[in-house]
Amino acid sequence: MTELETASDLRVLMEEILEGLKDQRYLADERTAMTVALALSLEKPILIEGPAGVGKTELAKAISGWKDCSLIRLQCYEGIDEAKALYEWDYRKQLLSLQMGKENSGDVHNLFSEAFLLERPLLAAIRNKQRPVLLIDEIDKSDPEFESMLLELLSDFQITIPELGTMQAVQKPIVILTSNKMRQLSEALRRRCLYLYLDYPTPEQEAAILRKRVPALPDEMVDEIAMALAHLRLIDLRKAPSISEAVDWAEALVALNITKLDHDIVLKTLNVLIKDHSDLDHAKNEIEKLLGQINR
Amino acid sequence: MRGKLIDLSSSLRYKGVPVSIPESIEAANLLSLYDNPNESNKEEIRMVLFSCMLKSEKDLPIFKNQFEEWWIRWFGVRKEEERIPLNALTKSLHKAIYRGDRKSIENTVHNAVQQGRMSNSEDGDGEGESGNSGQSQSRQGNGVSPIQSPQSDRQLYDRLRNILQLDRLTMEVEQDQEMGMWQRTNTRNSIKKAEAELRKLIFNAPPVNSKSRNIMVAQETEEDISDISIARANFVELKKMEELVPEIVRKLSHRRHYIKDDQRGILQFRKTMRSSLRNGGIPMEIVFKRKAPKRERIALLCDLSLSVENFSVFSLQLAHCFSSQFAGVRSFGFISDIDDITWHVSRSDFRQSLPELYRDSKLVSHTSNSDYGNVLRSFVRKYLPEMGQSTTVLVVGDARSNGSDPAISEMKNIRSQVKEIHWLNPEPVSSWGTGDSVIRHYEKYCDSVNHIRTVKDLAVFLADLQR
Repeated sequence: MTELETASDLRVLMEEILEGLKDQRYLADERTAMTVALALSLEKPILIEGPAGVGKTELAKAISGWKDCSLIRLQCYEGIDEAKALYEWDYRKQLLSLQMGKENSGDVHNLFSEAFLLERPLLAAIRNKQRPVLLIDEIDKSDPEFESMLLELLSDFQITIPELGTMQAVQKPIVILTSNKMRQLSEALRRRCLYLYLDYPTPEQEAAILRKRVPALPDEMVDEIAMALAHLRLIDLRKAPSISEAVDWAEALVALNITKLDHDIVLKTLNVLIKDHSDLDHAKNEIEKLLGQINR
Repeated sequence: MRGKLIDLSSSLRYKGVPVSIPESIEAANLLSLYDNPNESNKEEIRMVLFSCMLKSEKDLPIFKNQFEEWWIRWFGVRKEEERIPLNALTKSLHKAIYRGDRKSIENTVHNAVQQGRMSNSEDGDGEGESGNSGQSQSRQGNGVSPIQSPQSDRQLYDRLRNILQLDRLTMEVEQDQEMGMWQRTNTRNSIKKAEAELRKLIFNAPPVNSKSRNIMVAQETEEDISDISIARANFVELKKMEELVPEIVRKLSHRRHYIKDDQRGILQFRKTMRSSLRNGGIPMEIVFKRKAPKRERIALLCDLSLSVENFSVFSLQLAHCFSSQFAGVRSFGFISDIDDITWHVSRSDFRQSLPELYRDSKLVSHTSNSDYGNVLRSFVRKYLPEMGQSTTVLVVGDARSNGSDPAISEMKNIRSQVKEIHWLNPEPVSSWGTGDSVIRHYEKYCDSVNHIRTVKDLAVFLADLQR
């Protein structure tokens, strides 16, 4: 925990985060850095929303890299429950030990001890000796019941196991939740988190990200790609290309040893950027216009 | 400092942004880090407060506005906007009138009157266009001018009318050939509204200060929207209503989730025994046969003809929300022929693709007026075989068949094949069965016929449907 005394502490922390994440090849804007700084100092979870592929999960990875701590990831899906997220009793082991106990006069009390507890990601995060980064990915895919179950963890950093009692966090983890807005999250969950909305970057930011991520890319190409992406996002597509797709595209272009964008190349590599059949058709018609705007 | 923050959080709550007590305490703690909030660290403070008070990006515009107002109240200087010259106000008023945005018309007229009064009291002879001449004066002391004689009120009114160019705008609207009838009526109404507002502010209302006025306006619009008749709503109101629909439908899906019955069926003895072998013969996991989940299907038939113009936009929005929330929804659009529009309305960019919907679907056969008889025949022929006993049919339309045969037997046919038929009619009950309305013929085959005038009616209907 970093105590904040004055406003300048906050600024120092922000700068530190910006630098730290940059070393992890993650370019954060000021708002992101501010939210992370507040999360670190207030010890609150961050809820990140935004379209797919803008770096929500990457942010968690970058933080864990910067802080040099382990990243514990819980991927949510429909039907995920306590047994898969928190803990589970290893009942087979319990049964076996019971059967052995018949001969050796075993102690039944020991059946619900830590030896029989199977750790799942959330419990692992709580019990970790070093402060970990806990990434709860795509929380919107889980059921509302699961979301309510998380509340205890998010506000008090503790987990209650009926047979064992309440477990407090050894080191409060840095919690990051991501959501694609498949469904509306409850107010109770939102209230416990700091909120961060990540959107598609501006062309300048995108160019900076590309430079960082794909160093082999020639400089003039960086700008061209960033401009092309910005224009593509303006076209009415079902799924606009995201940053991660832009990076893929840049890598593909480098691999193909291309130094100048032209109609043919864009046409051939467009499927790296756009993953929908009708979008592809749509975008193909726009390529000429796109290249015209870039070269202007 | 904390008192100031309470001001912000309460005004946010007033606008409907949920700010809880822990959140505002946290924000207050952070705010107290700043000894001296001023313009230089305003952005930073805004970011700090944004991250801890706001939990959804859709509240961002409200937050920005409220923050700006709050900042002005406590730390700032007045915004430039208040001193914009009158001719700029004229432009923005005209824009607001074309948009039909009542609130911004009122605000603009209010600003204009205030500026008019100010320049009046400063330079008695009143040159309208230089209304911003006295920039350094403090507004608080001078917001309300000294008592004015009726004479000067009259002068002010005439002058402002001149500056705001309402007459010219009226002329323009009348002469504009490209404008649709609906839009023209709306614009005319908006002009009248602006004139009325001007008269009210100058001649009869006691001077109100701008803050309490804003609150008044806010209250008005907030309670209104779900109560305004859909058929009479203007463009802006319609937009706001549409935003309410997803919320209503979402509530529906949420309840459905909890109501779903126990899906466990009979015990599967063999499987239970087999799985017990893993635990030394103790049946730890009891295996049940899963019941096939009962599938509710909805067929939504939307009248897209001109007679229900406003309402059809609305029913398409409803179709869109339904198909994005429930799996078994099929949407059909009809005028004089019916076509499946499920694909169009379930697109995430369905707003932009509306022209495509009208272009690609076969909604019209022999006439561009609605022909319910033909529509029903065609529905029975093309789509009824795909419906089943678990299907609920919702028809959204005015049942005005323009004199053609209503094909009642087809309605009977549909009724015998589906679970329920509900009719949503935008027309008032009193006009049912009058003229070419054939709703009375269909009524006996429907499980319910509802008059949907406002968004609220729709919410009530959907809640009933759930039960």
